[in-house]
Amino acid sequence: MAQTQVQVPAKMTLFHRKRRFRLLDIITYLLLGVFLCTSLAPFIFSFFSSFKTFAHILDYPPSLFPNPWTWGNYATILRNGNFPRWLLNSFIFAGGTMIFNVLFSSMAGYALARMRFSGRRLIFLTTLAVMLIPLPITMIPKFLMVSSLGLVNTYFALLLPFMAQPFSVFIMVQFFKSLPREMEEAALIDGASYYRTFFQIILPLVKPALIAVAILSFQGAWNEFSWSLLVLNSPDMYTLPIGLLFFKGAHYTEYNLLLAGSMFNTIPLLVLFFILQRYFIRGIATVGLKG
Amino acid sequence: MPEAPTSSTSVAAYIFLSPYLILLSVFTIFAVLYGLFLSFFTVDIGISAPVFVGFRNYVTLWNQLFYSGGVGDFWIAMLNGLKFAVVVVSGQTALALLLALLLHRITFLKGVFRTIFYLPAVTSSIAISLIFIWLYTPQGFINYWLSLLHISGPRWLEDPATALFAIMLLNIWTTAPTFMLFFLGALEGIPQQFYEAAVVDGGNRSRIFWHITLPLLRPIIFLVVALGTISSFQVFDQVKIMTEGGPLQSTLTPVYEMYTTAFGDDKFGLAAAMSVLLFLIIFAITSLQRRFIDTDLQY
Amino acid sequence: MRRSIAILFIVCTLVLAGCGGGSSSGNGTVSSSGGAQKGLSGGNSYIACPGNTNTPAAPAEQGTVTLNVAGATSSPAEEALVVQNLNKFQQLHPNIKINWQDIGTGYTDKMRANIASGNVPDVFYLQPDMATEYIPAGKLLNLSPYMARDNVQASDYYSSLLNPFSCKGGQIYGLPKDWNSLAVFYNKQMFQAAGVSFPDANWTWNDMLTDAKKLTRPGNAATSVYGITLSPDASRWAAFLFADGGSMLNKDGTQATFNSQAGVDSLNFYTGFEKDGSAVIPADVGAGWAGDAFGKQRAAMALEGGWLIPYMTQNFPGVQYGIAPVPLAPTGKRADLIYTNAWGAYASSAHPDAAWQLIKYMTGKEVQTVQLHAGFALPSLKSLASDAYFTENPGFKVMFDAATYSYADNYGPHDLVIHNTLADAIEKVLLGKADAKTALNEAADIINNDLQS
Repeated sequence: MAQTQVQVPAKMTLFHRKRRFRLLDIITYLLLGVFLCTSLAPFIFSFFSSFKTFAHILDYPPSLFPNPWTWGNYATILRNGNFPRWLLNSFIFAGGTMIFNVLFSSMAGYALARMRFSGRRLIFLTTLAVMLIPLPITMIPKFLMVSSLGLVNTYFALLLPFMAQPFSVFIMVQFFKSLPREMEEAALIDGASYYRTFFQIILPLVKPALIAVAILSFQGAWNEFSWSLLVLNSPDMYTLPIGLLFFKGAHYTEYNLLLAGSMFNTIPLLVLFFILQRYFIRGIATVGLKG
Repeated sequence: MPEAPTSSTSVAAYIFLSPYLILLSVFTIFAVLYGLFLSFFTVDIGISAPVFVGFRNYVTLWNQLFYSGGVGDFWIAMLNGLKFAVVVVSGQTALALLLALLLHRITFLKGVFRTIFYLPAVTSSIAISLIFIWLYTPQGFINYWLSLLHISGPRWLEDPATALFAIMLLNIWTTAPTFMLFFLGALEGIPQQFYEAAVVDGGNRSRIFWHITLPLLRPIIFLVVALGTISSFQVFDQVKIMTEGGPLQSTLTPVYEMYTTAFGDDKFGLAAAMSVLLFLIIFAITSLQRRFIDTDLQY
Repeated sequence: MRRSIAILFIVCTLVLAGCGGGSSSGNGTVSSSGGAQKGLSGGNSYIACPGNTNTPAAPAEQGTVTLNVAGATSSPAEEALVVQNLNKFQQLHPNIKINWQDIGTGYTDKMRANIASGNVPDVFYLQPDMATEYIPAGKLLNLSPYMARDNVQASDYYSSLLNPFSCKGGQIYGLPKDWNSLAVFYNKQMFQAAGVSFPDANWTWNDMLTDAKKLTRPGNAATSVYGITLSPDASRWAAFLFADGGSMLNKDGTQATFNSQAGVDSLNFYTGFEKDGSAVIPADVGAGWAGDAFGKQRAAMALEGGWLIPYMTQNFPGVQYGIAPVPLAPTGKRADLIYTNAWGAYASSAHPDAAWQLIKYMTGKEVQTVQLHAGFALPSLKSLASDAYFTENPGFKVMFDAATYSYADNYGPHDLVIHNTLADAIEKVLLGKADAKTALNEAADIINNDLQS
């Protein structure tokens, strides 16, 4: 997280060129520009094409701008009885995951980073190991467990596996380790319990980490597909991704509708991303620093 | 100075840890063991009682190697997973590294580039898959752009020879940005002194890259390769949405095969056996990678 | 030493248990007569009855009752029809409220998951493969006592449509709501423009091939037009297999027999269009299915059933098309396929009588007449065979008459594996990856493996 700032004498300008534009720079920006296009193009094409009519969605050669322009696709989606429900379910799932994950993983991260107790190393190593276990390994047993508890098709089934994620714990541990000890020690000497210290003093200090975990949890749950597919069985319980899959089943060549639907799923998160991108990116980059 | 663990510290620690530990033990550790246990039974979704069958599920999978028309679906899926891993891991690692290096060199517009590059990683698999089904249609945008370059585009998702490749490209596009950030973070963590010392010692740009930057990035490269390999074998969403394993099982992936075996054929025990084998194979591959890249991660 | 013996012992037990003779998977069905059921009458069910078939009819309930109803419609047009009928029912029965959910694709999987978790709709679409699983497991409401009480006779319905939903003892667990068969839909304008005469009752496989060639016009990705649009689907090819004298399985249902000479010849015919360049797979013209390609007028012919009619009316009303019977095989015979679905109820529904009232209505004369007049499906009630709609719509009559030479598109407990494996085989041949004989032999291998496991 912290960037090493070093004074670079003017002569040693291998890496922080501010003056002359060299050929290498031109090539760099050119390449970056190409990738900019490939990153953006699908979104731009889809966004504009989501305003095309069914008759023109597969025109060849394809055009960028719709002609005629129609709001009808979005109208169809909003009029569909289930869409609002799907949005609500996604919010509940994503919001719930975010809240619980932030709470539980910060608590766990604090204990692992700051407290001394037997079994600490084991639990930390287990966390790391579990991060490397492919999720599908547990897909079948988790489903059968949830099913035998009669929780299929409920919010519980969605939330339970995601309420405390090893990766989030890992991020929290890294951040906690970077805190100076004095604050805590001062509080502890003053007689505060671990719990008071945690909630009132420590947590505010790791706000950036909390935000990063919150965002990543929200994003992960908002976009989650495979587990939702397994445990949700009726259209009124579908989250937005599963609802879109179901919608695709009914309209599989009406690409205009499908594109409008994808925009529905994408735009809220993109907006969130643009506003909070610092935290998104910082959360991910941490892994790079410490890994 | 760290204090010796006291009982009250331990109690407090475990209270803080308990929600996480409970969920972890139940939904991960117990689930893994339960999966292993299930693989020795014939289990359906819950309509009839499970029946103990010993190694029968594994024998079935073994027999799939000997069908007259070629191997059975599970092994086709594993082979596809392997192809996927090779192409996608090299592709996304190289691309991520390239982008990180390029971004690391500049300051002007760096944030803009970084944000926009990360867009594909923020979007959900369903949205991306729906978009790309449309882009990949034989008369769609991608083939149109190719035709402008006088390349006759293939039928992408309709053609068994190119369908998996289409999904591979999609995967690289969506996962490279995340790894780019890993690399970027790592690059920014390399102290300037290293580079300065190298310059003083007479190193040119290329020597510096190969002998300083790259070795320092080794741990991250291993992590990226390992994570990439694991997620290559986990590909499910795009297959379910775009091709359902077709055409002709060319896009059948291990997880999709497990899914259809369990939820389509109602054979949960067989699917559990598949997941055990999958785990062992992935574990073997990542261990090999570790030996090859020869690094130890510091904690 | 002792430890290794213990391990050896455990391993041996596991291996022996695994290699031991097959206790079959739970649902206990006995193998069927492998030959597919022909025509609308006759035939027997092969499904084992559940433990308790002696369940009396529950009395009518007082007060308002809410029923959860689920199904899987093939298009918004069909769903609109279903919803219309459900609303009519609610008007007739003011104390019964309906909660309708269209589950869409993956219906069988979702229903199975629902059944496993005990979270089941009261009334739902029942497909033949679902019935095979649920009847022996006792998950469906026995309708026979209700039928007896309300004077609904099994003989009102065609027996081959009832068989997939009844058990060996004769108890009925689902009433067929309709049925459909295949016909060749042809685009009149395209035929006239190409100077090809319309198909008649005596046209043959060869006629169909030559017609398709004449109707094909090359072009680019947006303008090319083909004689016919075909999908790699066992639920289409099987009609030609049977016409040529072939069969799907042997009498006991233990062996695949479709890889006979009749199978190879019929598969060569079916894929012959593609080889001539006169057939197109729907996706290649930006269509989702054959009906879509036909509606977009990229193909002059399509092999589909009654469900295409409301689809065309709703989406492509300007297209003028006719309906012809499937062509005659070199044997001089023709064959077709019958598809059917039923309405069933959950055995543990809290409102069994209300559920029965809904089933009775949705499979009754009024709703079937509405479906018939929408041209959507053929009636499963014998009493509607002489409805005026057939005289007014000779094309539809063609599909109804096909019953005399049609076979049920259902092949016993392993139906799904059979359909899926054959679809792959057909696709392999269509894509030029294998010839018909090899593809069918490989498919037979896989299917036999499954039949005998």
